[in-house]
Amino acid sequence: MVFGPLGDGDHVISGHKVRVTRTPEGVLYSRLNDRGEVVVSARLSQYLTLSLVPVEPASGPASGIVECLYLKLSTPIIVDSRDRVTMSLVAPVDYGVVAVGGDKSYNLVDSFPEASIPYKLALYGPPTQGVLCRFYRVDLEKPQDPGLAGVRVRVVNETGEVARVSSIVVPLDRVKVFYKPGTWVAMFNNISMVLESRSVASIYPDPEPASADFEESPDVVRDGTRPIGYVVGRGEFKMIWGY
Amino acid sequence: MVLGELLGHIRGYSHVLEAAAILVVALLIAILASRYFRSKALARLSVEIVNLLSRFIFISILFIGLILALKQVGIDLGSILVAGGLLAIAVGFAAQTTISSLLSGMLLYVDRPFKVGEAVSIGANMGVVEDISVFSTRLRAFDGRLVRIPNEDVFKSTIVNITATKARRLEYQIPLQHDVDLKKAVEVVRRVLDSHPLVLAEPQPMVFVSQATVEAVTLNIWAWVPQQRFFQVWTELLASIRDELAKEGIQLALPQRVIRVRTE
Repeated sequence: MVFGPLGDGDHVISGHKVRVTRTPEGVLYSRLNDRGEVVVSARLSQYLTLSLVPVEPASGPASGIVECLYLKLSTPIIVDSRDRVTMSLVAPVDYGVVAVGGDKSYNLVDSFPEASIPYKLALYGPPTQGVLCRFYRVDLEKPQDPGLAGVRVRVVNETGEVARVSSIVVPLDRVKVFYKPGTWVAMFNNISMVLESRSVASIYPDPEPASADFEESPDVVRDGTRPIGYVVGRGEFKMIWGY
Repeated sequence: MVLGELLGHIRGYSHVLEAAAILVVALLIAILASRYFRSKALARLSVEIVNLLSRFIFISILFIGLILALKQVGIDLGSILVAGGLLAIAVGFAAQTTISSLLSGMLLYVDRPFKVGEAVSIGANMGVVEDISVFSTRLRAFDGRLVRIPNEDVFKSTIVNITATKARRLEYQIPLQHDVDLKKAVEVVRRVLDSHPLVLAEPQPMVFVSQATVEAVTLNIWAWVPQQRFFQVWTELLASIRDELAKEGIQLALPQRVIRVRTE
């Protein structure tokens, strides 16, 4: 399984069986469950092509209500006052099947999370004001397996004291996913986390790709093809309930 | 001659015609003013407040038009106001509940414990708010019934806004037999909670023994789940917990009564 054009025939992606059938009327896409039952299907017009890409982790059981990605570091990072630390982490991405038109416009046909990665949610903040997040416990030593994308986080400690970071919360409508075509390697955009006080940190996603040979995935959250809980806010995103 | 009589009649009714014209103009102004207010205010204020204020503007202008029209036909405003005052007192006594509902409605607009479209529980009623009018609040109950609650009752009742929270804590109390391995039971339940994708990892779920009575040992389970999937998770989890406990041979407590038979 690699990212890029999805040809005709049967494919197994993260334990999900996907079937692409070309007929004179067009292309038939279907995803089957373990029992061989069709769980998702779509009929596409003849000249559309299908492509498998990594997308923001907003699908699965919490589709439509999840707002952020919550990375819980199994090993906290201690940052000296006025110092900065860059760490390379991995975070879950979902698989997206997009129909691409001749003019490069696209539409999300299907999306699903990687089956081997534990799917959990968490609430960041209090029940009335917090945000619902896709939760992932990050092991700093974890290799980048399929279904995980690399993410480089730069932590800048602007407080006057040594800070301890064990949580990073990023709004899904701000992240971008990039991939290397022909491989399963994916990356998020770089993220800057500026610690402003003992409990408040600002999150600034970098709009540029982490590496030049990566292609940007269709932005299925931002373009509204796939809904998320709500847009967290127009301006910067602040983690106000601790980090 | 006939024309002269006609003119005389018209002159006789001219005040009435003028009064009617004032009313029509007042009505037009009221419509235009309330619409203008709506178009300008909707961007800044909530729909409920805009509705209330535009109705107020409409009625006020119409009321002024009515007073001017009555003055035109020679009706003494002073006596009307006195009569109106007496009438208001009489109506006030007669329509205490209505006025109370009206005032409660206004206070609800200010307090804003819920909005249209939110799921709430008001006293014994639970449903989605369909409309908040000046006198009453309409709820669409989860079984499809439309419930109209006077605002006075809404204001006095305990209101729980269900939609306002992102996550809700579900709670189960599972009665177990006294001879079960409690440590194992807790582990089984924790495993079920961990494996469910919609049980939140944070706040962490809790499983603990809350009661030990003659009949059973009660296992309390608290788990936070997304508010919008509450019912789904509630039913799925209960079935999974019951199945997994049964698989591990952990028996639920059965109702029992100890009967002592005295033999002579």
